[in-house]
Amino acid sequence: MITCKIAIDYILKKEEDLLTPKQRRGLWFHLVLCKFCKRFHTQNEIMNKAIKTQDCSEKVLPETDKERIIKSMIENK
Amino acid sequence: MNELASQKEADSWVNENSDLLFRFALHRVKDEAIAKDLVQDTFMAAWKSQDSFKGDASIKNWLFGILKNKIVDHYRKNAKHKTDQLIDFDRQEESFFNKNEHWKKDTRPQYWEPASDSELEQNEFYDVLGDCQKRLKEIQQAVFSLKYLDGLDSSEIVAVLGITESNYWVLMHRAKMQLRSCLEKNWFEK
Repeated sequence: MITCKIAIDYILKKEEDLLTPKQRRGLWFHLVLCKFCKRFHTQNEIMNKAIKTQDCSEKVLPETDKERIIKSMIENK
Repeated sequence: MNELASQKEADSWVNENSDLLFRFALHRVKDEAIAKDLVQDTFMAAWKSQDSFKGDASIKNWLFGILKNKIVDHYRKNAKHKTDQLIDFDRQEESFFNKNEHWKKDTRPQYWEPASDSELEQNEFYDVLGDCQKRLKEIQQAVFSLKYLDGLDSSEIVAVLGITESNYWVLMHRAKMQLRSCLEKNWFEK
């Protein structure tokens, strides 16, 4: 059976469909037997989704920075 | 263009686009000071070359195009020497796995309670996620951003950053392990 360290590598490579059929079978078998790597697998999907949907929508550029940019633009016209 | 018209145009560019550009940059670089610099550089580059703006895209799209290139330049500039830090990767790995390459007892992934639908709780979760991402090395953040926000695959990312494929997988592996561990400690075990 593959090790947990290798299973984690395979889980990450699976996202890009980079596993050979043999590696896919090895990962599947490992995940059936190892509840910790199975948890990592689920957690990886949660993290991927959260990274994509995380937003900074309340952040604005402070007025002082806007004024500084405008001033630089005018000076460099 | 006279001075008044020039001032008006600069005001309009900045007031209409700077917040969007800032959020876009901040989401990717996770550092307000760097995001501000990238936005300023974007406006300056666009302003100096506005004669070459063909007008077949909106000013906003044109600015976003410039900003994306600035972000990639920023990643690339930092990528080369930052991969030197990967030398200690194997040593760091020992903190997660035992000598047989299976999880150590105290680092085994725990069960994560399903997320709540409450907006407040989700925002708190995103704050913790943001803090955990900030703890990653800049090059790891770059890899995450290019993969999950810009949708590039590993072969495209190694080309953009000028790193080797094996470095890429080391960076991704390490970043995921660290992020998982940080979220577990600071959110799921709370």
